[in-house]
Amino acid sequence: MFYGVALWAALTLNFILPRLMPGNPAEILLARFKGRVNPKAIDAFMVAFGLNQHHTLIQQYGAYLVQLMHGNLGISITYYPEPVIQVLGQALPWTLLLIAMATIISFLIGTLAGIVAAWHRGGVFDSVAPGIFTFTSSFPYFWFALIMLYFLAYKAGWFPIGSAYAGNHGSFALSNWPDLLYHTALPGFTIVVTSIGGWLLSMRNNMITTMGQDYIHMARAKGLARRRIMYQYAARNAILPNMTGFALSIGFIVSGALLTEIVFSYPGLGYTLLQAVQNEDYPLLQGTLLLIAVAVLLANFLVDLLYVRLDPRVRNQ
Amino acid sequence: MSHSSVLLQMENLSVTYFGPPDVVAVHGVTLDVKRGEILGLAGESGCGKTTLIGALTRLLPDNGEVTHGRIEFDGVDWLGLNEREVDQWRWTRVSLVSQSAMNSLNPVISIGEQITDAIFAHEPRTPKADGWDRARSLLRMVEVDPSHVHSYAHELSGGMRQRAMIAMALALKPDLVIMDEPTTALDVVVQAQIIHEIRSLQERLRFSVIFVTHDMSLLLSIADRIAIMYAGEVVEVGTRSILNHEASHPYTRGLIQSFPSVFHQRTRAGIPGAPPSMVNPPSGCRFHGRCEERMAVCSVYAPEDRDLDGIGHRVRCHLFGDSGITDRQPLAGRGEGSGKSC
Ligand SMILES: Nc1ncnc2c1ncn2[C@@H]1O[C@H](COP(=O)(O)OP(=O)(O)O)[C@@H](O)[C@H]1O
Ligand SMILES: [Mg+2]
Repeated sequence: MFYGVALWAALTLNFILPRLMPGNPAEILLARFKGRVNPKAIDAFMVAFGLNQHHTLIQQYGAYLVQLMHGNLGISITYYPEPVIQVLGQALPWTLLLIAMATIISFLIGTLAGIVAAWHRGGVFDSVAPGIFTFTSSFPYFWFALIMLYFLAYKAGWFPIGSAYAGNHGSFALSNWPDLLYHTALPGFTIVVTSIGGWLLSMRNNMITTMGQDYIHMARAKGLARRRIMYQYAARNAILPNMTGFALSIGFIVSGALLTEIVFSYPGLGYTLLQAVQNEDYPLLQGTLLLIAVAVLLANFLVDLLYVRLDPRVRNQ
Repeated sequence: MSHSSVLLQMENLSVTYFGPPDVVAVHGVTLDVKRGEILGLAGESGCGKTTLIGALTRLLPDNGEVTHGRIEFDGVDWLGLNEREVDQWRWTRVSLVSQSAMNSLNPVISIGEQITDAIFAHEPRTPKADGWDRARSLLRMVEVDPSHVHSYAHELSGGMRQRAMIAMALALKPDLVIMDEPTTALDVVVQAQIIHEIRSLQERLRFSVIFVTHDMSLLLSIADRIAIMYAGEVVEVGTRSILNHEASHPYTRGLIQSFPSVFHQRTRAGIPGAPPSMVNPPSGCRFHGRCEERMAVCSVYAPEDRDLDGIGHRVRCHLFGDSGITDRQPLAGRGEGSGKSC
């Protein structure tokens, strides 16, 4: 229900925003297209994207929704004559590979480290890890990523300078994975290093709060194994607020990740967005933003599903 | 395993919470629990009941420590066991039912899982299905529908949760079940049902119970023997009927009079004043500031335990001390506290 409304809001915003921009996007486009693209294509595009000036806004909106339902996002100017949907289709897997993997790894390691630190509160790990990761998380991302790129990739040559694959075309064939991971490693590393501290600290705090609960006391009184108390009783409860935090920050994670792609010329959605902006490629810009919005919603939805699995209290609602 | 009638013996037990400030929450407690009896432990909140239980279960908070005395459980030096040994004894010998069943149940795993994990932890060779069958019959035993093994704490009513806790506490047939205010969070009707349930289970299975409460009237209806705690000390112990009819310590008498009785139309008299600070306990007898029968000696010398009838009616009060002590005059300059109003 919520997701339906949110999706609709995203679609509608995406429709309205370009129309709020100063000047008529259609005219800007026409001016840019003159002499470069054949007029027929322009007409097709105008109709396809509901930018027909002879129609009312409502009619345009209707046409826009119909086009969307057919998966028609118009034609990219930058990559003419490729349809936007196709450009996005090529970018999306790379973003998923890099951002989803790095974010999940960061969340998992950070959470696990938080559990261990809290469980052995005051121990060696607890006095070292939170400090280090708070420090690395305070790096300005852009600065850190550039430094890594400069030293580890450019100077030392241990990592590729950019792209997500060797050669001109990437493929997810099994034999390509070592190469893909090699290209993902450095950008992924910068994401993990700068985001892990947040997960670690919040999980550590949740754990410490949870460990004061009566049910932990009870689990000890039962003589259960330490491991079971730590995971099934303490961590299992402490992770719930962390999941909520995770869901809430997916938007930020994605916007931060766009930066990663730009710094590392990684051919995902962020990089595509940059191209679209630089080339005033409105259809591509709109399509990318829409896809990002949908992706964020989808990620939220998945986290919600997982949360429901982990917390029986929200199940019967 | 000895066959003495005493299951648990605490001797001169003291517990300190290290601060600052340091709090001596339990001070020189000597108390035993006999096999198959319900021992009531009563006292105002803050008097150290939960701390005493923490020492008994060896689950004191990190800053709490037994500083003095010993605990013997079934003839074994309980405080001398290492963590591993204690873990083996937990739940198989001593189990716990606490005040808030809502908070004591893990909210995200099912009731059945919380019963069976105790079973599997102590009897690892039990087949899965048998463990779950046992969980079901335990629930049946406390009159909760066995299908609730798959329920979560929030799906049960307060009474059912407390019953489930009791079922859990009995899962491994312990010798001693410690109940820390098990009915305080429940309404009166449910409270009566739970008390009845505990009583009938205890009569059937003959485990010992330490029943902690600040509700004296409740103890007079359920306990075989009753110990009264005041400011970290046990000031009087005796059988239910002795405490009911021959309560001796002024504090005990005050407690008994402080609840209204339907039969005697007694009014709520209460005890004037508030419990003393545990950080700086009063000199001499800890109760002297609130005591209506205090004597000069009370603010100077701490009274010693005295067995009034030779069979365990024990009181810690100068009223029943050796005449030699009672007659002593306060030493100059040491009786400052005695003149204060109460
Ligand atoms: N972890 C702790 N640290 C310091 N003082 C504590 C701690 N727990 C309890 N106390 C103090 O010890 C005294 C006894 O507390 P408690 O055993 O909980 O009493 P009761 O269960 O009878 O209400 C109180 O004065 C309380 O403030
Ligand atoms: Mg208490």
